[in-house]
Amino acid sequence: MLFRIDALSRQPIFEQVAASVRRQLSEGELAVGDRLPPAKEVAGALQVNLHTILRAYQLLRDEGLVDLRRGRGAVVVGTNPTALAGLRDAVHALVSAAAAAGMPQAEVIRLIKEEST
Amino acid sequence: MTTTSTDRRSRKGMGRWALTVGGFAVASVAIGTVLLASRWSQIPAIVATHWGPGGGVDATMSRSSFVLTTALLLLGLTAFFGLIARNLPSDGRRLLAATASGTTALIAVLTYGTVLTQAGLSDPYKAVISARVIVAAVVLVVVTATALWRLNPLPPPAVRAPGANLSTDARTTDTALGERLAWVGRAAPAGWAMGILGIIFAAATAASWVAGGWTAVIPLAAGALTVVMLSARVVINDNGIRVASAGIPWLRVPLDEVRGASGSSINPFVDFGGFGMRYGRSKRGFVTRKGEALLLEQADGTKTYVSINHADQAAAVVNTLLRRRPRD
Repeated sequence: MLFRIDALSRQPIFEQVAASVRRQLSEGELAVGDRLPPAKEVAGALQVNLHTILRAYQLLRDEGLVDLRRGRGAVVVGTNPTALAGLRDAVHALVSAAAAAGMPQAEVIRLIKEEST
Repeated sequence: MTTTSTDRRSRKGMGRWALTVGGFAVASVAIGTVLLASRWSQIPAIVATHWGPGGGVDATMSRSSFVLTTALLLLGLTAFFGLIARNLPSDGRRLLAATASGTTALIAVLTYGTVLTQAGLSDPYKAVISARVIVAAVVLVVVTATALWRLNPLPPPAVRAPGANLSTDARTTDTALGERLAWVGRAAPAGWAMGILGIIFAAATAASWVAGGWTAVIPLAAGALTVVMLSARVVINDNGIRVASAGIPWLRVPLDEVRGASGSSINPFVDFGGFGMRYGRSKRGFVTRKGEALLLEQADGTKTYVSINHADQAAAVVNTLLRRRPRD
């Protein structure tokens, strides 16, 4: 399976690793029951810290895409990126847009509250 | 034109192979024959040359035809290995230098040794294989194989010629500039095949445990080794392509030695005569099952295959990494 990270991106590396997995789920390169490579292998291949990969796998578990079991590694249990994953991307875009507009964080949060009432 | 230069380049080291491996075979025959000649009067006219499963002698030969047959066998075998070595990739040829000389050492010690120990015997049917000969054979095989491995170092690798970039139709993957790519996969048999292998080795272990006790260690070790060897990791990144299992590196191909990659398909028995790390005519492969495989076309003309799923995707990653570092 293919992992891609961009050191120049503002997105944290663990999120980019998780995004690589999500992308392959949506492209059908990964299916339910497939096992993700051991985090140690991925860390070595990408030349990043092991904990970065573990954090990415935990993120995918929290999104309900993989199941993490001691000894069995990360197994794909869902193929469609959940609403949570979509939300993360939207938040990322929002934060970038706010930064570009020079809007302080408190103001952004006020806007979100205003929107949801 | 291209094929000629490729062939010549891939045969680099063959002269050294012939000199060292051939030289060892000639020396073995010479030493064995001289040792026999020095005790010729004590050697029986008819010597025992083969022992049956019960330990009894079941074949004999006159001592002079023994000298001739053994010399022909050792030299003929080496010539045969030499013909195979000519067409192997350089790492396979190096491995064959060690195994061919190891085989020569084994046969030479066992044949000349068992006949030399018959000196003074009147009845060849009373000859026994001495444990000292077997120990000497094992020691000499290890020493010889190690020495010939060292005497046949790998020639400097052939790298992609400057300007020799990928053909424009080679499949690549879309990437942003500066993006780091890594492909991680497994070269392993299908789950069911691995299951059958496991059952066979478990049954063999159980059977020999019941029958003899400690010999159960042999099928157990063989099974563990097979399972470890046949479940390898494949990593493709800026360092090239690496196939390894449990810390044992089977294959490493730096990107500069690759001309291009593609998704291919292999049949283990037809193309490679079996499974594991295999060598053939200008090709080699890490073969774990029938079907999809990544094909790397190397600058020296060697084709390297690796059994993996999603071979097209892996090939696209290799081609993308290659395109990013044009050599001109």
